Amino acid sequence: MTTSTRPWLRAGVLAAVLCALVALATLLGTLGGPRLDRATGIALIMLIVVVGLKIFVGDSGIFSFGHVAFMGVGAYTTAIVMMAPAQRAFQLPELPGFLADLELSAFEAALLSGVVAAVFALLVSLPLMRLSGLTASLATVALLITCHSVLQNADRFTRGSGGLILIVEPPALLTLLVCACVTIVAALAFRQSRIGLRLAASREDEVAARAIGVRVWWERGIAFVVSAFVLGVAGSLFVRYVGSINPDSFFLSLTFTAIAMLVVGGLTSVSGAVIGTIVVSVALEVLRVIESGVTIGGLEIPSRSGLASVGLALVLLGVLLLRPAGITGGRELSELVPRRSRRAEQRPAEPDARTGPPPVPVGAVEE
Amino acid sequence: MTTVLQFVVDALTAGSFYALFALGIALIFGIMQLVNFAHGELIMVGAYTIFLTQAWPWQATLLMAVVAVAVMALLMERAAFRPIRGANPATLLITSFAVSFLLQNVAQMIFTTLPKSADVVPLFRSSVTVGGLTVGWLSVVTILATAVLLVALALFMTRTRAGVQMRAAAEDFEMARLCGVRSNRVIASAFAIGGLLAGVGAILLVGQTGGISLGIGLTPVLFGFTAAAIGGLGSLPGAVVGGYVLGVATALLQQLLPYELAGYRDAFLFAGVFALMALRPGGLFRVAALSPRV
Repeated sequence: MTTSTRPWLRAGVLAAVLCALVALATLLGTLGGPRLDRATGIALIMLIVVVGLKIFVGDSGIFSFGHVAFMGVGAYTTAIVMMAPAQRAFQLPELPGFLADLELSAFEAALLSGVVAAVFALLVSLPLMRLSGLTASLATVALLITCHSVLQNADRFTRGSGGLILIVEPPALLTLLVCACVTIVAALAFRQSRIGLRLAASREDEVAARAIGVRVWWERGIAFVVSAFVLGVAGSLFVRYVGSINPDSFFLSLTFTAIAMLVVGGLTSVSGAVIGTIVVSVALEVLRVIESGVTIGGLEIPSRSGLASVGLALVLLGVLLLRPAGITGGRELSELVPRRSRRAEQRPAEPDARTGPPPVPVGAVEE
Repeated sequence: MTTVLQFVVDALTAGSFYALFALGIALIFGIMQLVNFAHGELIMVGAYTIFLTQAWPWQATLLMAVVAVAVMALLMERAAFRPIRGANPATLLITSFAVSFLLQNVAQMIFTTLPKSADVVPLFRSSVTVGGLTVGWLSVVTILATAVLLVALALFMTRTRAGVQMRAAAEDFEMARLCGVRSNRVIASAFAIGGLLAGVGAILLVGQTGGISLGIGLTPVLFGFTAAAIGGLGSLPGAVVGGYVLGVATALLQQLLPYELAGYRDAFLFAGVFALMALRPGGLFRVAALSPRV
């Protein structure tokens, strides 16, 4: 890549294509009645979660199992600050005074949720960014469990395992769509930024990146905080959309779904995050219909709870075993179409070899 | 004095539990860098086997549970982990996460989410009083069974051909293969032993609570791999020490935390683990073979 504006231009085109794809999927989702509307809304929120997760996981190469905790932090923040005072007095009578009569607008609450999640991530990242590879991943598991346990026990703020109910106007599908598109643009911009490029370099080869002056912990820390902000906002939208949350909403099941979406699509590209979310959301919806009992061609399939999850696990396993780098192979859509560069014209014999950086060998052994 | 003894017994019992689970996880991690999240579902398989066979004589029930878990562990290895052997640890971890989710939901389809109960060995519920100190038979059995298994495993690892091969594979898998260690066999035996330990763990767990649910394996596996991580992932002595350290830590927190903070026990525990990982990423017993080479 030269020092021109071309990479940014390509990223811009890619952003437009991905947003159009998401808009199209949303449009199709609105054609099937209220049930599908709701699934579409959840899918859009999951899209924000998965793209936010990709900002850290995809670019740093460190797998985080703890990001859903930031979503939980965001969701609880919004639930507490947006609740009508009367509701609050009923659900959370022991809230400290300054919170008791607060009533923020949806936008302020979303922003606050993002900031609270980001500040929390900043504190966590100070020790966490010292770690690499698997140890870091395991530490994020410890983080997830710690947060779950705190949410369950901090009755004063969270009403424990009973959870909170927030009755507000849910965000419109259009709002969710806009938020999802903004997240996609932000993720692509981050990837294209100086810090994003350095971070990606550290993912490819940590030692080599350090040798050319990448601090690694700094780049990782920034990505961690940025992605936590996105997850916090997603949590805020989530609680407004579904209306009730409890500590289990932000635990292993959601973590698993988000990871499945990211891995199925291909975790090192924004295109992968988007496509993975769409594919898995559609698959999940189909499986849920089957789960509730249907008749296909005279063959009656009885209702079986757990079927949708079994299907999701099988999809994820299939992708991991057959195509470990995900559907997109970890590449952006723009890298999949042949590039009309001068190089390519000079070497017509091997056009495919020049279409972009080599795919990240997710299945490669770390030495 | 009695309080101290009571504390020691509690800590040892919890520690033995954790060590059993941590060993199974560390054994497999050492050889193939797989953090097996699905170890918890092995415990679940054991528990449901006990539920299904509880009408049998108790010896047969227990034997069946251990066998079923070991078979399940071998199946898991063959179907899911063998095809992606050698992938990076994060991919392996996600795969095990998927296997865990799969098994749990298959179990949900068969047994529904309603908890079941089983009363295997009535002796487990009674206790013995010695000089003012009341100790449940289950504690005695847990501590003794773990001790026996630890000694047996240590002998196996140092005295038998298969054990030595297993240690060689954990040290340097490629080198071991070049020296004639059969990778499929050594990994399968590691899974079988891991399954055996999980099976015994499942028996003790069901004996303790009498309840069987889909999530029965979650807490043990989390504590197990926390213990393994404390000890230094991949180190077998580390896993055992990690298990007992965790046991002492839980018992201490249980004793020392004031009532209003008691619910936060696990939060404190895992926050401590998080801190320990940050301060000493390799765990207490660093495994040289696992540190990155430049």
